[in-house]
Order: sequence, then C-alpha cells, then structure tokens
Amino acid sequence: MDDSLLIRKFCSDGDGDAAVELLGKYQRALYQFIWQMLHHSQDCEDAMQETFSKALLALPRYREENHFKSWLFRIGRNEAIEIIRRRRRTVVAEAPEECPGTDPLIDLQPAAREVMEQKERLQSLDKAIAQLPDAEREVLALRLQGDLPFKEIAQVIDVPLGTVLARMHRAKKRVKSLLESESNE
Amino acid sequence: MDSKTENDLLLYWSGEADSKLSAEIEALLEKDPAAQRSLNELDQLNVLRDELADLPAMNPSRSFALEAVTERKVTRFPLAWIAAAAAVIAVIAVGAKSWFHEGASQAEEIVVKEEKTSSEPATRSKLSKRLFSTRPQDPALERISIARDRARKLRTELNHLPNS
Repeated sequence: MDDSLLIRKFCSDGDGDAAVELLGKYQRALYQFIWQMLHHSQDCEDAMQETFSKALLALPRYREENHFKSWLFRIGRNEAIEIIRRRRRTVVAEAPEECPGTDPLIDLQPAAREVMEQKERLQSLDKAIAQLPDAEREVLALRLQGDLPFKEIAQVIDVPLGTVLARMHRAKKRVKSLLESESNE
Repeated sequence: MDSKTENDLLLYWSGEADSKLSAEIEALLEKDPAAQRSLNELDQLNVLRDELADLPAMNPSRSFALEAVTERKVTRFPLAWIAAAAAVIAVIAVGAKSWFHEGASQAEEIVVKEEKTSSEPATRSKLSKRLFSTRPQDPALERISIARDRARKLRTELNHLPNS
C-alpha cells in the first residue's frame, strides 16, 4: 500500500496496522543503515526503538512534500548521532562489535571452507566500512543500505548534493584501498 | 577523470541522471576505460551490499514497528481513561452544582411565599422549617432532624425522672 494512504489511515482512523505496515517497510533498511553508523547491536536496537516511537509521535505533523523514507531516515540518523555523542561523553568507550556470523567452522570441508572464506570477506568489508570517517560512512550506508538516492541523502544530512557525491566518491576509494591492503596482509 | 565526471558517473550509476546526462555518460563509457572501471567498482559495491545484507547482524530479529505501535497504544490507553474519567467527573460536578442550586432556589421560593402569605412573626418552628426547607431532599439533614427530635424527647424524659 502507498505510504501516503498508510499515513492517512493511521493519522485519521488511528489504524495501528497501517503504522506497522508503514514502518515495517523500512525497518530492515533503516536497521542496516544504523548498524553501519553504530556497529553495536544494543545501541542499534535502542536507536531503532527511539526512531520508530518518535516517528509515530511526529507522524501527524508529517508533510507530504518530503519523502517519507527520507523523513524516517533523518530521524534515525539523529538518533544514531545522539548515541555516538553519548558514547563520546562516556569515559570508557566500548569497542565496536564485529559482525556476528563468523563462528569458526570445526569441519573445514571444501564447501564449509568456501562459506568461511565468504564470511571472512564480508567481515573484512564490514570492518573496512567501519573504519571510514563518519561523514563518508553515513553517505555510503544511506546509499547502499538505505537505498536512498543521492538527492535525498543531501536532504537527510542537510548538505549540498556535490558534497554528498564527493563523500561517496572518497568512501568508495577508501573502501577499495582498505580491502586491497587487507587482502595483501 | 575529473571530479565533475566522477559525480556525473555516480548520478548515472544511481539512476538519478536525466536523459541528457545519461547520453553523455554512455558516450564516455564507450571511449574511456577509466570511466568504465569506475562504474564497475560502483556495481561491485552493490554486490557487496547485497552480501552484507544477508548477515545476521544486519537483520533485526524483532519487529520494532510492531513494538512501537503497541507501546504507543499502551501509553495512550491510561491517558484516554484519565481523560474520560475527568470528563465524567466534570459532568457530575456541573450537574450536582446545578441540582443543588435548583433545590436551594426552590426552597427560597417556598420560604418567600410563606412569608408573603403569613403576616405572623417568624416563630422558632418556622425558622427551623425555613432552615430545613433549604435542603428538603437532603437525607443527611433529615437524619439530623430525627436525631434532634429524639434528643428532645430524651431530655424531656430525663427531666421527668426522680433525682437519685
């Protein structure tokens, strides 16, 4: 169902199912974007809860000239930034989590080895993205995980389109070189 | 490749280039291997994105959407009840006020009528009647009246008892 219709059903008729459907459509993409921002599952869950609660509260004030997905991602980004700020204020910062799903395989049959290699490659990629500067990482994550067009990313992070494109370009180059240096080690 | 071409290439890859820009980029891709390489790298990012998306960490195990909607309902429920209760109390208060006010004015009317019809001076019983006539329908006052009568009777009986 169309976003506008779902928003109307929720705001006018108080239809909770419409809100679940609306937010559910973007849950996975938003979660993946926030994961790339925070690299910590508990923080990621907290940010998701807060984002959806705030979105529901603010939905009656939502104006249709903004794309709903961008609007939701903007709330999510603000929550992630708030968590990052809080982390910086705390004396002992927790180390970022590595992507789970990389348990050592006991029986290294050829197929299992292939699976493990694939997992290691993905872990390297995830690590490479985590090492990017915040500004570049968020553009990369909004484009890749959030699947937002660059023009909407510019609105979400409130910078000119040229800046977004430059950050994306730098992020791409950096990820490439990080992956290359890792494979050479 | 200059930064403008890189930016144009990004827009083309993202599907955000208009038809004019798309035509320019397609012409460039045919003759410039560096541009073709850059586009391939961007496509590679998409492939990696899809692979990353399958990792367990990238997939929430809970429905945050459902939780948020349920939580909102729970927090709104008592508020709705509090509002409803407040409305009921307000209605009762307004009703009771007007009811007492009506009763008092009726009683006042009775007293005024009595005073007008009777030319006798106000006796004690009349004053008492006037006092109680202001709230004729109040059961508490009725009980007070009964208790007072009983007390008067008891006092009279006590007066008749011989002194011990």
